[in-house]
Amino acid sequence: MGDLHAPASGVRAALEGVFGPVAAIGDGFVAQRRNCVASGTALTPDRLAGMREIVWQQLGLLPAADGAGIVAAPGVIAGKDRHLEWWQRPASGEGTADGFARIRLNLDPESIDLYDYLEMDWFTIPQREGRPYVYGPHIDFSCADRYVVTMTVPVTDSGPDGEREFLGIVGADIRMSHFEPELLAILRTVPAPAVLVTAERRVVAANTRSGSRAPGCPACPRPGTATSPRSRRSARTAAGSSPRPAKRRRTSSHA
Amino acid sequence: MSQAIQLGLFVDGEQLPPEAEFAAQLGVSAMTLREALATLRQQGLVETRRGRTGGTFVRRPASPPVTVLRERLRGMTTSSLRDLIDEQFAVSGAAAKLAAARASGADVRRLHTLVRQLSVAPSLGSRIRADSRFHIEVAQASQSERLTRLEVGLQTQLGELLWLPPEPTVATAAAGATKLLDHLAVSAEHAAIADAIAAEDGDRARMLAEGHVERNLRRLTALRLAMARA
Repeated sequence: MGDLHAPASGVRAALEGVFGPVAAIGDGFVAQRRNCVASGTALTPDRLAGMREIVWQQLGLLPAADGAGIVAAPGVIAGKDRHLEWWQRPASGEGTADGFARIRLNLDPESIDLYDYLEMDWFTIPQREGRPYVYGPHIDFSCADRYVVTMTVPVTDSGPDGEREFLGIVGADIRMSHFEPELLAILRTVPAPAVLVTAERRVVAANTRSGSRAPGCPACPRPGTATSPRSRRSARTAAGSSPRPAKRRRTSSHA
Repeated sequence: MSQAIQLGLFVDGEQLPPEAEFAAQLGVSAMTLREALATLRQQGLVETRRGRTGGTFVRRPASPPVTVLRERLRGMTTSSLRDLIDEQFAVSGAAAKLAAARASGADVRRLHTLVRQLSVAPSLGSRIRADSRFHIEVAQASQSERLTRLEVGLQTQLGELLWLPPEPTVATAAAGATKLLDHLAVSAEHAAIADAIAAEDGDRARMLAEGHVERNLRRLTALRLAMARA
């Protein structure tokens, strides 16, 4: 087994490149919220929509992103339990600044088709644990119709009592086809069979032929089971620090 | 777009943006959009009204008009129906097997939610949607873009027909399709598939999904044959 520190930090660096532009969208969101609070006006959907140019700008810095935007916590946008301002690159073509399309989702709580992001890991985990999060890779059919990695950062600001108030998350969907060559190149520096797996043992990339799930990977919860104490501990150490790849990804070798 | 309507991203009665603006949003030419809208109009998914309050509107009623569905089924031959179900057999079986190997905890939770939603869905429309969504979510959990796209297409074509109430005729009874599809039975079959996926038992998930599709074929064929005799 070779030294896995270098490949592990390589993976981290590959992911961190995305969190910069995503966090910039979050800064804009906080600024807009403060403006509204200072002037005593409600943060309406229209006022949030005023942030679209910041989103477009950051999408411009993320050519591998299918989409990016802001997903608000309940009540943060006046009168809305669920509201988002998410922009996508059109399916065909490269997409110019004014070529982005605002995503449409069913946010009607009465509908079976409700896109209930308040239940989704990429929203709830950064909210609960106060840290950036990497979800996937997954098929995002409702949004992008593509195989993507969803990367999200919680947005908080000081509330009226000095408490941290959770405003929502900002995030981006990055095409897996963008990460794969980079991750493969990193794994190929390991002189033994190596796989990159998610906390649920799903294989994300491997330097040799490998199954869909790493069988003997220890301390990884099976799907649908509670998080292991070990990953809760690592979540705590990540909380409150600068953006870092959050969903515990582990480079392990099985030889 | 028909998929987006199918997935409930557009609500009934919603007005689509003016053509030029809509084409720009979708990143397609005005010509492509016009052709697409014509197809959607044929499928009865949008309607265009003229005049001052005119425009193109989405049609997605909470419960689908049974007469329209019946006409759709009547327009299909049993062999074209069988061919569609064959594709469904291949896609659903493979998706279930792969989902067992690849599903995340979030995927499994979502599948169980849809099982519950189907078991309590009060109307035909909500049952159709919970059923279709379940199959689409299994495909998504398989992590295959292509299988997901195929499954959405199949649900668009078959999803509603399966729930069609039989015509109250003697012929229907003779064909063995007298009853409305039992949503509790379908929900129980979905639950078993979801459990096999959660248990990472790919062979069982595949077997259950294939059996599920075969029962669908029998029902649809019986419904269609009853029509021919009526």
